[in-house]
Amino acid sequence: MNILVIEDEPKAAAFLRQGLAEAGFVVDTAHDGDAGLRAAREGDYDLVICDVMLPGRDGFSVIGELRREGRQTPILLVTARDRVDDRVRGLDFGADDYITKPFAFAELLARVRAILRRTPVRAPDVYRVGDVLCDPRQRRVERGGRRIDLTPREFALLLFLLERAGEVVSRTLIADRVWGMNFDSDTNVIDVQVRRLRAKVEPEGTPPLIHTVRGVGYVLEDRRGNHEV
Amino acid sequence: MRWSLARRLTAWYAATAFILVAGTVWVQYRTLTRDLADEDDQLLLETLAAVRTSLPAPGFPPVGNSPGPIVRTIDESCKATAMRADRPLPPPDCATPATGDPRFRSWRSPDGRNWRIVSQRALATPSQTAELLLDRWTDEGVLRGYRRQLAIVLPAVLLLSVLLGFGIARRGLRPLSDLVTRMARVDARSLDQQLSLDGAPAEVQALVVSFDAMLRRLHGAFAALSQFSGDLAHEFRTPLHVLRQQAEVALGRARSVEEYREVLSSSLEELERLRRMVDDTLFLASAEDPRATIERVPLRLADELASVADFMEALASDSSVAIEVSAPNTLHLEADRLLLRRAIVNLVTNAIRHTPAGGRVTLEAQPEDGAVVVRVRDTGAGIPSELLARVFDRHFRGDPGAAARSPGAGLGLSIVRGVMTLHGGTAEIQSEPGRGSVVTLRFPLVAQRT
Repeated sequence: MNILVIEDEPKAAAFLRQGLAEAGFVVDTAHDGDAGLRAAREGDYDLVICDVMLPGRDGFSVIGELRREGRQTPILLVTARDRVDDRVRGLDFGADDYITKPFAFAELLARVRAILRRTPVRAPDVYRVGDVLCDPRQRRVERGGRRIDLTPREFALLLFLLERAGEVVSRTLIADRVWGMNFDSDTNVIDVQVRRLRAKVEPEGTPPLIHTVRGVGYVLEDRRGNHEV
Repeated sequence: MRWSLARRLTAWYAATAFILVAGTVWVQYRTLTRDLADEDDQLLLETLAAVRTSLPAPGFPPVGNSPGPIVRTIDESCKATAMRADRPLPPPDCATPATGDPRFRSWRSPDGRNWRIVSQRALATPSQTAELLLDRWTDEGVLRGYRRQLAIVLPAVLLLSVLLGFGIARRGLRPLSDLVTRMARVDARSLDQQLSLDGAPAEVQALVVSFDAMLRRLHGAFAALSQFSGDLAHEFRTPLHVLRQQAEVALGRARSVEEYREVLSSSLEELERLRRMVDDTLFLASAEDPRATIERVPLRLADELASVADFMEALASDSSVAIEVSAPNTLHLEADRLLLRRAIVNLVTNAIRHTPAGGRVTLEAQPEDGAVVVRVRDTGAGIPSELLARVFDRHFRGDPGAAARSPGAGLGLSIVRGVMTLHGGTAEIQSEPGRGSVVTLRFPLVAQRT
């Protein structure tokens, strides 16, 4: 998968490149709007990550130009201003999604993956991670063959983590998708919820399943194998 | 180009003064003209009476070159005999009736002299008509002189009234230009000073008073703003300090991967705290922007309160605090869903934090005095009354130790107030130390459907 990153701040560009490369993408970078537009026209990219504030031609203009030429390359817009009109404008120009600086890299990665798998994959009938088995339709969870009783919210939380197994999800994203609370709050309620869920799906003697990624959020994965985050 | 105030005033002064003077002069001129004509007629009548009785033996008064009227007699055949004929005389009037009062007429000679004529039949010999002719050249000379004087005086009056008017306008407007000079000197640093233009006229004084009031408000706003930036910088300092320290210490000597990982994770936590502070600050700034708009949708409050309670339930039961919701099912509110939830979550978070185990947090909603009211009530420790007024202030913390435990920057209640500002509503708090607090959110019913 090839990704073009158009970002003028050298440090930000370098880290984006490194992070995406380590996540398995092939990354090119451009440092201003015109160079970015040229690269996007010439290269064959699966995704363009474009900053709004660029020297010379700005991000809106790059997107507008690409779309006018009929290029359908998915574009993820990075804005520094948390203004609704900026987002609306970006989407109007033809961006597929937007993310506001400063963002968690995990969040960016999640959005990149979401855009790249736009073609909807049919949700599996049964989720299986390690020895955990979850059947969303019957609302049934088992670990090592033993049934686990969850409240509806605990089940929703587990399902959300299972759908993104291996991806780090932020507390804000969990609050948004599981409870519809799409904002930062001064509460550590998500930590409490995750702790309760852990107590149920990780009874004594079983290996941990849900891991805390400090400063970022949580990830659900089976780490008994050789990989490590 | 618009005329300046001084110019307009001058024009009005000059026009008014000129019209008054010219009008007075005109009336006087008219009176003079009429008085002169009346005097002439009177003279003619008196002379006629004398001449008429003396006929048919004419030859007396007045004779010679006296400026008085010329006597003329007209016989039956319309033959006129004048006592004196040194200039062209008006044609005789042969149609004077046999009886009746004296007849007056006017005549203008070809050389431009105006004559006044009176005629009547003689008393003794009614076949004869006595006629008196008065050349009014001398009288009109007086009027001509008067007019010549006016031609000089009136323009002078006009000029003088323009000059005076300009002087008066300048003088009258001086307090205003003084005021402008003083206002021009006001800048951000001198906001605490007042104009206080003593001795200014009442109209300008009113302006000075309003301007001073505006200065005081601006001064207050500036002070609050600079207090806020100070607090903000101070809040930023703590995470920055931590970040700096740990990076420096970590780089002090070679460490294991585990140790580096620990430092980076800790940095990430501090950075997240900084990000939250920036986001919250931006939100508060946008809430105060009068152009800010929100996305109002009709909401059933019972549902909204229930979802907040559902979200917070784990935290509450972790602290052994019960959450209860009480709202009529029919109560609706037009509000921004996320902002409303955010405000209530912040209030409930706060309530749980300050409520000891076994306590209760209640979310209520009800219509009240033309508003929809949402209350978050707790049975916690309460807030001392001297701190109550400040809890909605930014960066205010009743308990300094709370900073370490909470992920925010002490902006939770400020955000609640920001949300209410955006909705055109208010947030109030009442508290009874030892028994609990209640925060009341009041949404005005304007543009609300219930």
